[in-house]
Amino acid sequence: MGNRVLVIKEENCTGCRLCELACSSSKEGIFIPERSRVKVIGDALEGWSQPTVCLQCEDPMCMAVCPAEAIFKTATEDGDPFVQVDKDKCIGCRRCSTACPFGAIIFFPKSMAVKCDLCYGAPKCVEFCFYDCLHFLELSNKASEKRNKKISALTKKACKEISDRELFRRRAIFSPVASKTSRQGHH
Amino acid sequence: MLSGYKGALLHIDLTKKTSKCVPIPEIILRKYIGGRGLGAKLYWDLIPPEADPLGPENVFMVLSGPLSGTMAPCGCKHLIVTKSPASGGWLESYSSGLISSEMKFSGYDGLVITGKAEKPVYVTIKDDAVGFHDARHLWGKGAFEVESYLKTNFHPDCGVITIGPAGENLLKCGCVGSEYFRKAGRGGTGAVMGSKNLKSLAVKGSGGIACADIIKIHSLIKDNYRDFKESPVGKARHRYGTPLTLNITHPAGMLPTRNFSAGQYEEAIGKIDKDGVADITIRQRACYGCFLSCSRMTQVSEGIFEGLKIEGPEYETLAMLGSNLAIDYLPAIIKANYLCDDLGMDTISAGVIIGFAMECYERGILTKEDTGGLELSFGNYEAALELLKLMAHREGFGAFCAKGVKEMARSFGQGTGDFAMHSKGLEFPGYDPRAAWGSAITYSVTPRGACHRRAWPPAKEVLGDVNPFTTEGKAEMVIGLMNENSIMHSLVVCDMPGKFIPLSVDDWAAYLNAVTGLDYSDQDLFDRAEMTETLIRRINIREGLTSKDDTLPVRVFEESHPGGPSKGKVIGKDNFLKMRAEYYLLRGWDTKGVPTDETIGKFKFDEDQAVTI
Repeated sequence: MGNRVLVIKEENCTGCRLCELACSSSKEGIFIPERSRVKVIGDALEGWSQPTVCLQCEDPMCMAVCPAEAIFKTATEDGDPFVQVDKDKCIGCRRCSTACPFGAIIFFPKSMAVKCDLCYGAPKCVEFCFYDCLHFLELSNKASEKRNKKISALTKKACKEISDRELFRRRAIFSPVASKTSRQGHH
Repeated sequence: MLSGYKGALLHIDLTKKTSKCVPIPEIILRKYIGGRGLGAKLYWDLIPPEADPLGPENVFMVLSGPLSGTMAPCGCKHLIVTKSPASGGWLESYSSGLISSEMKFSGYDGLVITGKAEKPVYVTIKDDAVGFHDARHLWGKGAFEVESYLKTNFHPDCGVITIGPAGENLLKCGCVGSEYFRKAGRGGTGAVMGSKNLKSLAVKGSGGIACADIIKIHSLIKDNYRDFKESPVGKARHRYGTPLTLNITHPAGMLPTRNFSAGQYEEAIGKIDKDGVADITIRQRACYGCFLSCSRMTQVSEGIFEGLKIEGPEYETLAMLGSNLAIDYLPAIIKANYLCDDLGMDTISAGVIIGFAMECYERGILTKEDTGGLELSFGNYEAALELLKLMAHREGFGAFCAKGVKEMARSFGQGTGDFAMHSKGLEFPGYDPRAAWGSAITYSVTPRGACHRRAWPPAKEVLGDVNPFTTEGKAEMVIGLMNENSIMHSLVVCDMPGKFIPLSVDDWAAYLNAVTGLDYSDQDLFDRAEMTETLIRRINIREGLTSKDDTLPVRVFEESHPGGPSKGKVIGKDNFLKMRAEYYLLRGWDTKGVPTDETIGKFKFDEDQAVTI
C-alpha cells in the first residue's frame, strides 16, 4: 500500500447516490448531500450517471493559488497521497475553487474550503458503493506516474478551455464594476 | 424536534401566490409517523367533504416520511395525497425521485398546496425562498421537456414533479412524473395539479437530516445488502427487475390478456417478459439512495422504433399495454411507455381503457365511425399508440376514452359495465383476481380503488403456499399484507425492498428507531397501520363512498378463464361478499363497512389537535 487512488468505473454507476449520502453522513454527522465531497453527475433522461471526486493531483492548482497556504499535500497512514485543507488557515477566498478544473472543492459553512481527504485511507463512498463503480486501488509506480502525467496534461487543457470561456464573461460582468471603482477615486 | 423530521409543512397558496411554514406538533408525528399516516390526518383536517377534486378547494399534498432522505433502502419515495378525480374519495399515489429528500433538505416534511393559480405557473423552492413563475411557455409541453427545463434553469440536482398534457387536460389517468420515468401514476393526481394550473414544482435544499444513530443506519444497510445479495429473490430481481413478474403471473394464469378475457398470453414469453426486456437492457439504474437497483435503461435496437430509449418498462406496463392489448411487440410497448411518461399518463389505466375499447370494438359496440377511423382490434399497436395521444390531448375518440372505463361503460350501456375493469373508477392493475382470489378483496376495499400496491396477495397465493382458489383466511391475509405496506408507506419507503431483500416490519422498525431515537416495536407500527386504515376508511365514508363501491365487475365474479390453473373456476359474488364481510369485521367496521364507534374510540382521534393552515 501507499499509492492508492479513487478509481471510478462509471459504466457500473446505477445513479443511487449512496456515495453522497455515505460521505456526507460520515463527515458531517447528518445526511446532507450538498456537503458531500463526492458528487454524482448524470442525466436521468439519457440514463447515465457517474461520481466525480477530487483527483488528489500531484501538482494541485488549488494549492498553487491558495494565498493563505492552507492547502497542502499529505498522505494517509499507509502513504496514499492526498491534498488537504487546513481549516484554521483557510480564509474563505474561494480561489482554490475557482482554480480547480474539476469542480472538486466546495465551501461551507459559508467560507470554508472542503474537499475529499480519502477518509484518511478508508473512503466511505467506496464502502457504500455496492455496484463496483467506486474503488480505492493501489497503483504501481509506473501506473501512478502515467496517471499523474495525464492529469497534468488534462489540467492544462482544462485551464485553457476555462480561461477561453471565462475571459469574456468575467470581462463583461466584473470588469465594468471594477472600472467604476477606479473612477470613484478621481473626482 | 424529533430526529429524522423537520417538524414543518410548507403551505403554498396558489391563488394568492403566498407561502408559509406550518409547524406540525411532535405528538402528531409520533402518532401518525409520516407519509400515508400523516397524509390521512391532513386529509381529514384539511380537505372539506364538499370539495370538488378538480376545484380550487381540493388540497394537493406532497409528503415525505421519517426515512426519506436517509440511506434507508429506497427512502426516496414521496407520496401525493389529494381528493381523487377517479373515485371522489381518498387518493394517495407514490413515486420516487429527489423531491422528498430535497423537501427535507429545505426544511419541510411536506408541501400542502391549495387554491388555483390564475395562469399556468411553476413553483420553485430553495430552502425558505419560494418562487412563483409564469409557466405559460411550458403549458402543453411534454413532461420530459419541462423537467429538463427545471433542471437547466433552476438547479441540476433539484427534485421536481411535473405534469404532461394529460394532467393539463384533467384526465383521470393523468399522473405526476418525477425523474422523467417515475410516476405517481394512479387516480388522477396529475389532473389535480392541472386543475390548479400548476405545471411543475421543483425543490432544492441546502440543509441536512439529523438522525439519532447514523452508525446504526450504516450497519443496517450493510447487513441488508448482504442479505439481498444472498437472497435468490434479490438476485433474480436485481437481474430482471419487475419484468420478472410476468414470468410469475403468466404461469399462474393471472396475466391480464385481451381486457381480462384470459389470464395467460403465450406470445409474451421470450418477447415481452424478463428475457425480452433483458435482451435490450443497456444499463442498471437505481432510485435515489437505494441499493436494489431494480430499474433498467432499455433501448430498442431495431425496427421502426430503433434507438428509442427509456427507463423501464416495468411489469405493469408490459401487462397493461402488452398482453392486455394482445401486443407482443416489445418496441411498441416501449413506445407506448415513452408516450405515456411524456404525456403524463398512467400506463395501467391507459392500458385498461384501450383494452376495454378494443373489446367493445371487437364486439361491434364500437365501430370505426365511432373511433374516428381507428381500427381498435386487439394487437393493433399502431391504433393503440394513436389513441394514447388522442386521449392525452382530449381529441376525437380520445376525448371519450379520457373519461375512463367506468364512465365509458355508463355511456355504452349494453352490459359493458360487466367487463369495464375498475373499482371505484380506478382501472385494474396487472393481476387478474380470478387466478388468486385475494386480489378480489384487495381491489375492492383498497381506499383509492383497484390497486396492487396496498397489498400484493400473489406473494402468498402464488409465491407462497396459500391456496389461491379459496375464500378461507383471505381477508385476514390481505389485512396482514395491507398493514405491512401501510407501515412502509408511512415511513415512506418503497415496498419492493421488503419483498426482495426481504425485510420484515421489525427491520423497518430498526431503521425508524435509528433515525428517530424512539423505540417503536413492530406491534406499535401494526397498531398505527390499523389506525391509519380506519382513518382513511372514515375519510371515504365522509366522502359518500359506501360498501356498494367496494365491488368488482361481473366478469371477475362470474366468468371463468379459458385456460390456465383457474380454468373453469369462478369466484362467485357470494364468495366475494363473504370475504368482504370478514374483512370489515376484522377491521372493526360494521357490516356496511363503517368503522364502529368502538373502533374509532380505540384510536382516540378526537383527542388529536386539528392541523390548520
